[in-house]
Amino acid sequence: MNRFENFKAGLIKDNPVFGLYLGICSTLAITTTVNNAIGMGAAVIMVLVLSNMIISAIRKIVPDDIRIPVFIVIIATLVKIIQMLIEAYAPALNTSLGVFIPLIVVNCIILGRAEAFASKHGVLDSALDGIGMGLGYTVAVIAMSFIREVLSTGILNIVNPFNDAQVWLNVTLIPADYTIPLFNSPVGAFITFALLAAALSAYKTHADKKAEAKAKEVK
Amino acid sequence: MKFNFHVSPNLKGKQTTQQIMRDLTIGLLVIFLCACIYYGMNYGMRYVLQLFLLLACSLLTTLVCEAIYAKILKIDIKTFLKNSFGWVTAIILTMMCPISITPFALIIATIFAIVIGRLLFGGFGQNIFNPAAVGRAVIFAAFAGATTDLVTSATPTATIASNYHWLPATPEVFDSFLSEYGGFWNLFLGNYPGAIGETFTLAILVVGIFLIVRHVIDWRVPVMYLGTIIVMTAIIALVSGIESYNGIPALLWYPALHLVTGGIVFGAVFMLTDPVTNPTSAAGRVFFAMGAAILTVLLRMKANLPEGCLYSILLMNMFTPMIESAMDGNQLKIAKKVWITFACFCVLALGVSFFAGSSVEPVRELNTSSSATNGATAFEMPTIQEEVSL
Repeated sequence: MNRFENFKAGLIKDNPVFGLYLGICSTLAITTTVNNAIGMGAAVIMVLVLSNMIISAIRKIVPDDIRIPVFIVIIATLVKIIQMLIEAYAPALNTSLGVFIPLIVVNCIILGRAEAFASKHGVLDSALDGIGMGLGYTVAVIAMSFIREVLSTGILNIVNPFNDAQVWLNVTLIPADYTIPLFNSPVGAFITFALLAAALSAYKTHADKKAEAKAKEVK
Repeated sequence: MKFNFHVSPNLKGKQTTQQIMRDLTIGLLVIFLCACIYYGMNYGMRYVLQLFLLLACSLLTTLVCEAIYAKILKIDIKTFLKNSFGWVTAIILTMMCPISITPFALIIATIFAIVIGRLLFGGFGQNIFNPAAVGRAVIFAAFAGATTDLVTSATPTATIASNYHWLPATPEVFDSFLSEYGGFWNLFLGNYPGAIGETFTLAILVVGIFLIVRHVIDWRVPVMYLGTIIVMTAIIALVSGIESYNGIPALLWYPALHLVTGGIVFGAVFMLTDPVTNPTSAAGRVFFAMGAAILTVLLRMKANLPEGCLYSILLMNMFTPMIESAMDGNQLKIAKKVWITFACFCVLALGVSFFAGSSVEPVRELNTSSSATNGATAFEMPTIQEEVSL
């Protein structure tokens, strides 16, 4: 049960992007299209799960003084592997994500989870935490990119990342005259991010109040 | 023994916020009436109807946004709407837009202005940025091309910025600019295309004086703002060696040109004076206005934008908390600090004017003006108006 709670926390309450404010740089930059967001989310999940597992497996033999360089080397190796895989099998995704795939190395979520969770817990727990946090990140970027893409272009377009000729979904939600191109620019990214973070914060305050009221009733 | 306690503040001004806002609304509506007369006389009823349509869109959006906000926060909608004064924002925003804007763009800008610029900060009295300026900035950023087929010609602000770099140096060049818009008097009266409310310099000044006399707005802000701009542009005229025009020295006509084109008078009277985003101390307001003036001149002369008033207001709004905390405390005790800051601002203004005056190339020959730079907005005289359908 405790494990499941950990897993769930990463999704909503401790959502790495909107709750802990980690890894915002890539979040703001790549959320122009839903395709990018899905690709980036998948890459982050893979790196996060693998790095969490490896780090938690070697946590007892790594000396405390040099743990951060060791973590970074592990994460960088994993990111390089993922980057080469993406380059080989999804070249279109590679061009549109560009420099933000190698930059996963310095994404705070991954080092943060390694430091805060994986270096203190067992392998299975760490893997679950990695999946939870990774999914939290993915949900966050997909939500942001959905809002930004639909508002700025009016079209929701999802293609197969391994073969960009194969279009899975292409629907026009808003007629072209009524789109807001602002959301395609960095300004739109910041506004979307702030609004979603504010919404999550409001939800959390609301939930806390509810829990408090319930606790009082029980007393 | 019995003590009577009164909750502070014990010293109250006679005016209520409601009265101030009512006066401000009347002032704005006077300018709106001027706009109706101008468009009615020059372009016909269709344009006047479009004016009312735009205003109605903005006002309705404001009402709906605020009602929803009050509903979510479970406040009584009627009292909230009464004390939120959203309509002032809506009217100012409408007046800052060109008439060719689509109602959709205006509605989105109003939503941004009201919801993000104002309500999310906590409603009336809590906002950091002037909400109307936020809305206008959204239109600048997002809807540059969103225009209806209601055509007006190029605004003098755009023309003078793109063709003359704000520096027509000889009487001939200045004459060729003035002749496009019917002379200096026409520019002063507001009889030329531009944003809906910002062109009527004379009417705005009259309304401004009326509002100052009624203590609705603080005289320091518009006076210091326009005064600093006049001094700075006079220095620019001296530095760049502009010639005198029909016997009037450049020292006098060049600042006047800056005042009558673009929206700085509108901004000075209706937007900079917004009591919510101003510093509260008198000294702070002076520095606020001076900083905005320096930014306006700098943006006009050196930036890509034709007009600097809007962004100078937004930027100075960010500095308001800083000015506020610097000018906090006993005003007599900090007098020395105030004068030192004042001197610093003066030096900064001097420096900016010397920089702008010496680095912008004055336009001395006429042929540069005839080769229009951007074809979309340049030189369509308002004489021929096609029958347009909405």
